[in-house]
Amino acid sequence: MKDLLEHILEYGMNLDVEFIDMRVQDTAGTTIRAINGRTKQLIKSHNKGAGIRAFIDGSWGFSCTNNLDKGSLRKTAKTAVKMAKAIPQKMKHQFKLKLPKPTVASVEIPAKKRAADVPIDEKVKYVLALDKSARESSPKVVNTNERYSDGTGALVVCNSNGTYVETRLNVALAVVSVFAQEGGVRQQGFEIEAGTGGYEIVETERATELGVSAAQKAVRLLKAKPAPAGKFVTIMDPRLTGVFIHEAFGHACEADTILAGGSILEGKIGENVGSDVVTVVDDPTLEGAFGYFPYDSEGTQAKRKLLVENGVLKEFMHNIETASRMHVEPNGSARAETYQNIPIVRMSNTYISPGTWTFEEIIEDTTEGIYAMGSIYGYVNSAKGQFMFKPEEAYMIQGGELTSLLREAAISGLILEVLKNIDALGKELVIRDPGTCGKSLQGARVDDGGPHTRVKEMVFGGF
Amino acid sequence: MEKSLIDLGSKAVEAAIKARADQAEALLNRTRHLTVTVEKGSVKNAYTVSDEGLSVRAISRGSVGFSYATTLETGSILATAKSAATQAKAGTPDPDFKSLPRPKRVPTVKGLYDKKTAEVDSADLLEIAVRIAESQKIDKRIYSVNSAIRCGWHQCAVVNSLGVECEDISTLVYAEGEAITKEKGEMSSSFELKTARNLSEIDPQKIGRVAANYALKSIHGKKIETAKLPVVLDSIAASLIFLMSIMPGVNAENIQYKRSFLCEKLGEKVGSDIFTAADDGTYLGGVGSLTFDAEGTPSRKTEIVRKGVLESFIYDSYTARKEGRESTGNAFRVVPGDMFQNYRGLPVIGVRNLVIEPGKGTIEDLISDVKNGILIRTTWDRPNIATGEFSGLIAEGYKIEDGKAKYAIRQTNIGINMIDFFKRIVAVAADSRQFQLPSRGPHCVISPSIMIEEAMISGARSEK
Repeated sequence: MKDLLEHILEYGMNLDVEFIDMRVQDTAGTTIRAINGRTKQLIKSHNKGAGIRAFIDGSWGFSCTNNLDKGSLRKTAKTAVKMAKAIPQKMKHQFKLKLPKPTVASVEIPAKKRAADVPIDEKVKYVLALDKSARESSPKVVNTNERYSDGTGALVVCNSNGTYVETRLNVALAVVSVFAQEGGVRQQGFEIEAGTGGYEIVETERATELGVSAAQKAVRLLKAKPAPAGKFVTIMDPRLTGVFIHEAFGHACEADTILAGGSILEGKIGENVGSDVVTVVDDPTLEGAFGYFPYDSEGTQAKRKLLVENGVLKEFMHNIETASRMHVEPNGSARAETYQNIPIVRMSNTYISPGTWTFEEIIEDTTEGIYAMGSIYGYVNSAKGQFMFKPEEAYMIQGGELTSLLREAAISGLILEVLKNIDALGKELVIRDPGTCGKSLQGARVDDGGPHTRVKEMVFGGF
Repeated sequence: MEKSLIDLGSKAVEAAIKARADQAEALLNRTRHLTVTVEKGSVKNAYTVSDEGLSVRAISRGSVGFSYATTLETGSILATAKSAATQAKAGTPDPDFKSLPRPKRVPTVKGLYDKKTAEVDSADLLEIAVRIAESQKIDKRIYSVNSAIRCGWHQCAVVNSLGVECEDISTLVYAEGEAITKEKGEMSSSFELKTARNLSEIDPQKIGRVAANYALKSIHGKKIETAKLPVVLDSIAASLIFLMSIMPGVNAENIQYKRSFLCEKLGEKVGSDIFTAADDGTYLGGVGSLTFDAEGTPSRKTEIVRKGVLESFIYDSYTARKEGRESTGNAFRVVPGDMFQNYRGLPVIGVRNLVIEPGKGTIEDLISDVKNGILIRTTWDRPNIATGEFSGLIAEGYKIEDGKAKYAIRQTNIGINMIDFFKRIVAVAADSRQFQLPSRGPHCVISPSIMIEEAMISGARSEK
């Protein structure tokens, strides 16, 4: 395989380009869906193919194929070069790539029990057990839905500069969604467990209790009141803190967005962007976390990045191109969802570093506000500098105590204000909010977290 | 010479039956698309993606197994079919599964394919992408202009063991422009997009100008106070909200499993008299049109809401047979980011072209009737499907004062229950356009601008 890929790179370079790289994927996966005690679908997937990228004078050409024979790969390399050459000089922003030292490595994402070695019957049993536990949790449960997915296989990144990195993938996840009903009121509860690794991810106590906790959440929410509308002091649990920092700040620190003129943080390195208790980290090297990867999709070794330190903006996330154009070293943030995609700058596991408060101290110190928990989704417009995210549930805080339970509501904030409004951070760091982040039509597995976090004011889209 | 997808599909179905599946189906694709992206006025990427593959669905005692592979090579087709049959046997029996669809005559749907769009070369697309970006440079406050255009060609076939054999060839083009403004350290942005079956429908200048004008209008957004206000939604905002509420809301699976806020509402009034919505898989030139759905069921039109009364849900063959009725042709295979049916996708029920019946006048007419209210151009949020509650950020919005959209608003949210939303539709314009967003899959909405009598608007400004 290596000889063939090196031959293709050489063939492409002989077509007179500056740089070529290639991502080859051969992965397989299993997905099992169940509804109300029966399997709904059992799905076996096999994704195999290669994507080739060619660089000339500031622009990229790209092509991909599902066939890994020599003829198809040569044709694909030729098309990638043709695409790059089709772009007239006058249409380009010209720059040179500054290539990092070549990386040669072969790694496996650690797995105690490779999912591919676990029989399908055992996975079906797990999914049906989740379903049963969810259904039996309460007579108010009217519908239970589970999905288990795993992925294994090989990803190769190689380039004309001598990089050749092979990563053997291991990933697994389980999600449960439960609907409960009482009178005319209907509610939904959702739980997820996901990580990089083998089948052991769904064998933990937490993973086997997903059904019960999703059901309890749905039933609990039946009694929740609609959230109020307006501005509130907001305390977020670690999961919500995670999606908050991912949306509120992470995306605006992606260097490709900066170079597209689309981030309000452009030119602000070294400036104060948050209160001095705030430190923000993106760390793909956290083994086991859902956003873990040892090498990125350009073959650069992954590293921990300090985006904000004590309120000061320190670093952006880069791939080879953005690092070249901004005169820094690439920091391993290039990710492509599949061989059919171009690598773009992405987050991995993003979190706020912990502070000094206990949770009880934060609540007692809050006369009036909202304590919001869990996360549904969020998004940001980094140019406008505004973002939103949604908790699953929340409590009103009155006189330093948690009072009534509230339903979901959109919370919004402004990038340049919000980190300055953080005035209390909990002691305990939890990074457990696995999910898929979408950008430029590509999904990336990510994780996020933080401690309990208090923000002086955010807007609730209540009723 | 490329082999016929129907022949390959028949081989797969035969192999699955031979592996002792009770019934089997194959969905096969060949796709090509060409994309150009422009960043800050310069071409960044030009790329082409070719993909082919199939998925096989095998049924054993009602249990459904799927398998897919990224190849149409004969050996892999047979292995994939066998694997689907193996998967099916590992599942639980499902007595509610009656049968895959039987063959039926598919309608003739015109305008699915355009030869020029299928054969466009990169030079032409480069030109269009650059023209979108260039036509955004209308003011010195425009700081960055980005654009993208994607032209795709798609072949899709469905074959099953009951004799269904159908094939469509279609084209699609998606173009977008994003303009970013900067003045006195403040930034803003806006966008415009267009999807069509035919490249000739893309007007690069128009896309560029609309994006730039909104970006300029949205600069220096203000925080506003929390209040209940009338809301005008332009066609894009209305389409996004209808897509994210009606599509899951009337999905028969969500109804049968008691997940939807529209459960038990069939035949009831759920909207105002001027609210009528239908799903039409045969809509002329519709980007959601095809002659059949992902199971080979013929495309058709289904009335969903008529004068505010909920008339029907949307079905695939499984949910339809559970109720002893016909599928409405709403089976999909969706992969986020792909505007075509995709063999990798999980089967889901979705809208084809969700058509909201237009009224009269323009969005300006709607705005001119509002003394104090909000104009929403974009919200990316979705309602809670169980409660029907919609709570979201107004991603791009403007304050309406004395019949005019006066200034942009920031950090402003909206909260409303979707049934109240439908019931409070007090005006519908006649400015319908097709809306399809790659990130939301192959579903299309054709909606005019609308006005809602009142919604809770929460702002970041303190009351005096």
